[in-house]
Amino acid sequence: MTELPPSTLQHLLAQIGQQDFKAFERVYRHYHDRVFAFVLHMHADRADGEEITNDVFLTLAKNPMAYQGHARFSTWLLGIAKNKVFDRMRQRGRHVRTESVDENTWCAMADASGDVVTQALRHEKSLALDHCRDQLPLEQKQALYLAYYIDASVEVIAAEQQCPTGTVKSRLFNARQSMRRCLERWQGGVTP
Amino acid sequence: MNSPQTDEQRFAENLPFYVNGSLPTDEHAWMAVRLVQHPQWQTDVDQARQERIACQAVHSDIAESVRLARIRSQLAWPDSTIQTQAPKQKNPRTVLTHPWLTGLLGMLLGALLVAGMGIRAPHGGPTTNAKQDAALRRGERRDCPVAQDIRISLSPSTQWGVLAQLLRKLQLQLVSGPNQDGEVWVRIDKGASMAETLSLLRNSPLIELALPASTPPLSPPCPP
Repeated sequence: MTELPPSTLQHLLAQIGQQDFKAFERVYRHYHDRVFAFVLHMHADRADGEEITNDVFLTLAKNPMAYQGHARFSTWLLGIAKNKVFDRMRQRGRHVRTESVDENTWCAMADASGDVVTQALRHEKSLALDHCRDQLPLEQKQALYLAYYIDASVEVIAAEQQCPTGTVKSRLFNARQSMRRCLERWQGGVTP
Repeated sequence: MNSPQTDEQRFAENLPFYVNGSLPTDEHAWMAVRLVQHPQWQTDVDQARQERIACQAVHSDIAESVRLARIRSQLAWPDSTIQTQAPKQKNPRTVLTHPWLTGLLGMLLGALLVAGMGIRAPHGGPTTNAKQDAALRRGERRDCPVAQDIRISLSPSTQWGVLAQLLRKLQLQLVSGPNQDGEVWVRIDKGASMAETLSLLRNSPLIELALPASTPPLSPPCPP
């Protein structure tokens, strides 16, 4: 999950500005999976995820020098992705939840059991996880992505989300609790 | 002293960072001790590890070449974009140091030599070679595939449709392939530059290797 070296990145962005598709391809190959995974974490629909990721890189190709180097390049790209996810959700008429929600509206309280979760992961892992993650508030989804995909520390996530480390820990704790309950409901045959 | 509830809360809050390896050493040690004290919490660790693995297993279902081709068409950057990536013109002496070009020139010279020998000592009947000899004397180019064919090794992810588009764009004619090694032989358009075509092909992400080919399989034999 490394970044391209700053000098290399600047050179490639300048080349992209001159419509050099080879330079674009290099940046695309380096960052695509990260952006795609982020988009899927924020918005479970795979078809939408492909479209949004495509749009992110189109935005990059059309105006590469919009990146001013104030943040890491991946952070900048994910910022574009996040905005596009918001736009897509609004287009689809979905409510954009950014913070805590009444979890009982979608997930009944249950006695957490790791075995149940393990079974759910084993049997319908991808589908169930996508569904349950999609129910989370966006900030929780983003924190999960940063913790599990980027392997970011709590301090890094706090910086990315511009909040105290305690908030990050709470977000992740709540996200995992919600996911667990949702997966149990899924395993029980009830669509949460 | 912390209450068990507090310990449990702290353990749960640290868990994502315990499994992703970013926890500070002292907290990591604290987690390890609690795991020994509360072996039932191992289940939570296993769950978090599975969540992390599932999180990282997200990949696009669409081949990269297809995704890139789509963006390329959406951008509609001019075709000259490809040409601007070709190596700049070098002085002729430098160009001749390229092994592939030396080989190409060698093949052309060889072909001319063989053709010349055909003029001096025709082994076919006088009627069959008469027109060719006359054409050669007039300086006309023989339509021989030698040195005008290119062997291409495709990238594993290359989609046939995308390759076909590239061949059309470069006005290349498919001669043979693909074989089991993912190689195809193509023929460049009359009048097109072999060096330029090779350069364009080598700049394409669809292609791993492009070399002049003297003996394309299944191509019609070069007339003697």
